[in-house]
Amino acid sequence: MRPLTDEETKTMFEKLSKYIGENIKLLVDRPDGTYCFRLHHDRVYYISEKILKLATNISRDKLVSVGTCFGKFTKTHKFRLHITALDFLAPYAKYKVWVKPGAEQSFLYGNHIMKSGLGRITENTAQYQGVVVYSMADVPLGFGVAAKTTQECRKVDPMAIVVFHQADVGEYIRNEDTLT
Amino acid sequence: MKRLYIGGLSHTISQKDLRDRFGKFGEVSDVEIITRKDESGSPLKTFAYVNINISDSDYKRCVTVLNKSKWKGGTLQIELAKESFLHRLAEERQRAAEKIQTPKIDAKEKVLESLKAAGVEDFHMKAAVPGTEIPGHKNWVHCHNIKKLETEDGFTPVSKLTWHIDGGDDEISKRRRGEFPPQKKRPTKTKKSLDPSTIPYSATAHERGPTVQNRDSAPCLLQSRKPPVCVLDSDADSEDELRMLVAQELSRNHKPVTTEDEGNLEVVGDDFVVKSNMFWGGGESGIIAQLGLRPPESDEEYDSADTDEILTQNKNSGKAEDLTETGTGSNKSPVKSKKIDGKKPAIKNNQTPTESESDNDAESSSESTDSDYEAMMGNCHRMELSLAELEDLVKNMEDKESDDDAKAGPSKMPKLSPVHETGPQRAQSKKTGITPEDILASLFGPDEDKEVKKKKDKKSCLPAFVGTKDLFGSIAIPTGLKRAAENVNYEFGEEPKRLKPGLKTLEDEESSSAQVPTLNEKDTKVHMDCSSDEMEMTQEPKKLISKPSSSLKVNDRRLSVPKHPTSLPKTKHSPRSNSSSDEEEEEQIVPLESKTSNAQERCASDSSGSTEESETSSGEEEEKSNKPEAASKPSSKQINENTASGPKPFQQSVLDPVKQQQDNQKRLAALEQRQKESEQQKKLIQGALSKVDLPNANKGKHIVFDSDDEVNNDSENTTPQKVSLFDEDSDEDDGSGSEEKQDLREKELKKAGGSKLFDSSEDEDDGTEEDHFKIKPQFEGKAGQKLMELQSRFGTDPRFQMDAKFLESDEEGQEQDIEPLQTPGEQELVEEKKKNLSILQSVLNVSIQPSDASKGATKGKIFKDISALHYDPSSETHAAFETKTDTPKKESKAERRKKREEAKKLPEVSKDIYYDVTTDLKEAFGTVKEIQNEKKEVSWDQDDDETKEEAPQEDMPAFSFSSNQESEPSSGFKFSFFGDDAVTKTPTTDEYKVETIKGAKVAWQVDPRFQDSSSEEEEEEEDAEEEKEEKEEAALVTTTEQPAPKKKFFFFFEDDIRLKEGPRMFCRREKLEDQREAWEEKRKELREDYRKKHKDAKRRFKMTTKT
Repeated sequence: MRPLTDEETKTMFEKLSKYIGENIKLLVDRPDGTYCFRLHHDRVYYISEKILKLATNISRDKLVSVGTCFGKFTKTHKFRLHITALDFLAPYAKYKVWVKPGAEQSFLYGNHIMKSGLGRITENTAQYQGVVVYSMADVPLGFGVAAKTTQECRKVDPMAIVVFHQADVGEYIRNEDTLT
Repeated sequence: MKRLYIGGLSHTISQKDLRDRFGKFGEVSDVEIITRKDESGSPLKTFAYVNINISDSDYKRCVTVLNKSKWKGGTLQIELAKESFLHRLAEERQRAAEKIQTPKIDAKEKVLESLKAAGVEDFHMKAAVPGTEIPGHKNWVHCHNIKKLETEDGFTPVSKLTWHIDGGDDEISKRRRGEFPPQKKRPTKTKKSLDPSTIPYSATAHERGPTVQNRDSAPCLLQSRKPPVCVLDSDADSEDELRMLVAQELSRNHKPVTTEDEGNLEVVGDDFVVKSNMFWGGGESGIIAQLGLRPPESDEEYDSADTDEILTQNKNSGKAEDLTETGTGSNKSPVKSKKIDGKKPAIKNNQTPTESESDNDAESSSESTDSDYEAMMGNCHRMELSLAELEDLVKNMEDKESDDDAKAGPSKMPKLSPVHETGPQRAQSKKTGITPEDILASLFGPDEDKEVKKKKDKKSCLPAFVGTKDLFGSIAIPTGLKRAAENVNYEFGEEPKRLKPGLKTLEDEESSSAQVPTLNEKDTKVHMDCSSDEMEMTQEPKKLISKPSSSLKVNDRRLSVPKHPTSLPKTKHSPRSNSSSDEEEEEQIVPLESKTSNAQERCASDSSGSTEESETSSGEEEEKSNKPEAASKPSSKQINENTASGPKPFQQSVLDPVKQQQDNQKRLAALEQRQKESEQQKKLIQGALSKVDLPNANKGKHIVFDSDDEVNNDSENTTPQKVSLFDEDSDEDDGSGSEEKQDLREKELKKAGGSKLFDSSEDEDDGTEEDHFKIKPQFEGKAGQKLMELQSRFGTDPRFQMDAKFLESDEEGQEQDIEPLQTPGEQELVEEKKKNLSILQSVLNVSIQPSDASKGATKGKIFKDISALHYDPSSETHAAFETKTDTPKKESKAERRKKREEAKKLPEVSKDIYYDVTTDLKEAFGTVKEIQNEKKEVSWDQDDDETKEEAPQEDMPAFSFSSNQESEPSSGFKFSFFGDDAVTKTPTTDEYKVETIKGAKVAWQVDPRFQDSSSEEEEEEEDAEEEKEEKEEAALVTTTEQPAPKKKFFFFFEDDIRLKEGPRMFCRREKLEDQREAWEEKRKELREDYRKKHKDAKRRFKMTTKT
């Protein structure tokens, strides 16, 4: 477990910034304590200082997970967000998409969101903007990337993909073994 | 017997009818017919109550048969009625009467039974009765003792026992009364003897004692003082019961007793607890100690057990131990006695001398002290009454093994009695302001008063009591000292006469030995030890030996008061040495009896059982009174010693008095040694403390009350360093402030003995009170708070008081504070965070505030309820809510000044520029044209520098031009207008330079075209236009406002082409006729054309139609 290098930090922040923009600052600089990002087995964990100290007692190979896993670095050193980061993305998300109840299940099975399933969307959403997906009851379901702008979404036909799927809470079940 | 309600009767019904009717079901005892009548007298309703002896089954049958049956024109209604109130009343009264009678008897019997079961035989309720009496001090003790016995036995629950006792009180008291005559005789005798002897206390007490009224009065007087004592004596269990008893005894003492009980219960319980908690450290140690000790005692009789153990140990150990014990006891006792003497005993002394003198007069009321003594005496009377019985019992007891116990018991009993006395006295001292003075007087006075006291002592019979008191060390020690010395002398002088020759010799030797310690302390010690021993010893022997002797003794006492006191000291020695001396013993017995309360009686009667009780009671009493504690403890030790050695000496003494003498001498020597040692210690401690005391004294100096005692203080060794706020304090402090402290320390040192743990006396309290309220520097500051917390864990236990030693150095604390903030790990984290933020900043291309600031901001964002927000002028943050009226005014003033200054300054600057500019007029004029041409060629967007450079240059011409405008007549109105502006605005040119240039760009771009177009058309006025342009430039340079007005005002130039061409458009150049001709010609042509076209159109139409 080690702190992120600058490059890693930058890539991660770039990724995160797609979803929560400047609000990353609130993650890095929290009023309620000191939190930090740590890299462990190519995964980035968001850990409070307390837990970090406790975790130092555990050898590297035995440590499966600590804190909250935000995502992992691929072999090509790209950063991929995990659904576990949703708890921290959802409250700070700038652009949101609400899914109709009928389309929730589809999304939770890992499918993209069609125009027909789009219940609501933040205005001025740019294309390829990271968005957090909510159910109509405002329960965060996952996150993805807007395939079309808000304006385009109005014109597009019902079966057109509006939001690309990236992660959904269904992964907690589907990818239980790899979500750490 | 049931009472039936029978309703629905006819008005004519008679009792006989009802009797006959209901007689079938049972025996009708009474019939009551009630008829309700309306206003006119006609009967409305008739019903009856029938008292009938009827069984339930018969009643049911009666109801089934007769209920709702018609009888003589009415429907019967039968119900069970409530008992008639008269009947009920009668029953209740009867019950009450039964209750009152039955429990008493039962209680007595039960108690006796329980006592028997406990191995106590020949227990006379009479003896117990006096103790149970509520008015007296001792009553409580007795109840307590009995309770304890029962609990030990386990036969009857405590509550029952106490209840029974309570119930029995009345009868007991009655019995007392009935039995009094013999007892009364004695008291009367004692009275006589005492009165002449000038023992005020005893006399008064005796007088009152015989008569119940006197007793009652005494307690009444004592009430105020008693509460603490009573509370101490009475356990919570017995309180309620006692109250009940008191209520029952309404006839006698109701109000006083009840009030006492209630007051005691309520006040004491609360106060004590609190105090115990509060002052455990040693503030008011006496009460605390009492509290602390009692609970165990009440529950398990620890004291008694302890004493028993001690006794047994003493017995086992033998004489050597006795000696040592006596030594220890003496040491302790002397210290205590000294202390006590200094303070409380002093009170007694002061009062006593006067009283003793007045005693001769008879019952001069020394008030508080007298009342106490009276109360004591009242108890004594009771004791006396029972003494006969006790003696009998003692005789019986002699056979038994319990002699030692019995001896110890009585010895303790006397102690108890003094304790009681002391208790009230203490209460007085605490409560009454008089006491402190007395204490002071006593403290300082004893030396001076000795002579007077000696005289008084000679006269007064009291000395014996005093002696006992001295023995117990609680109260009378001061007098005891003087008296003791005197007594010793007297005793020695007198004793020989009374005592048998052998005894006399022994006594003389003893007296000599006793006399050797001339010091007051020594005397007191001797008295204490000897007295306790003697008392114990003497009582038993007296009892054992001869009642007649007691009578003789009484006579002796009567004859000579001094003898009594003397007898006590003598007895002290004598019992050990001369247990055989009946006279002395008898004499001793008399005072002892008088002094010793019911407990003695019980002890005598119950011997074994009573001894335990007495011990327990003594323990309790000791606890009750601080001083008495000290005294009692030593006394108890002494008792133990006595018990151990006492019996032996009796036997041994008879066998070989010489050994006893030697032993006594040894003891005395040991005592002396210990005294000396203690004195040395005191001196050392004094020396050490004198320094310590000084600051305290300084503190105490703030308020000075006039105290007569101060004079006395001066006389004393200890310098009155402290002037205390209150007389008590001053007395104690002045007189014995240092001594007290020394004593305290000594006590602490001697606590090793174990008995003195709770010695704490008022002296200590007073001395330490100041300490309690001192500001303790070690508790100040943050570290001090920690200390305070620590201290609070230990309570006020003096052993764990936190000194400044425990203070952590502030540096450490600060370091600790700083460290958490700067732990390396955290530092790293902070750095990492900063780095992350910087990266984030780079990623987002947004400036992110430094973490710390954001931290603070975020922290500051905690929700605040605005509605609950109150303006606090003291808080800086609330300054935002203040409307600042003052500052703007000030600023305005400042601004005005500045403006004025600027206004003054600027014109000067402008003048300089003006003159400079004017000099270069023509050159500037020429250059300006060139520059303008260049400007036209250059795009104005390019360089600010050029414009800037140009601007100043242009300024020059502008000014020059403006200056010239006035001179040039051409374009008069323009220039006049412009010239005015230029003049006025010149001062501001410098400031606006930069800004104006930008504005110039726009204006310049627009204007040139316009001007160009105009200039092209009118070349004639080039000069004028050039001038205009220059003006414009100047205007642009100087102010942005100038170009705009130019455009507006000068949009049309004079001789503008447009103005000339425009009107032409609206005018006819040719004449109307010419136009008509031309029109007509043209119309012809148009007609021809039209006709041709029309024909062509017709052809085409035809062609199309054809086709």
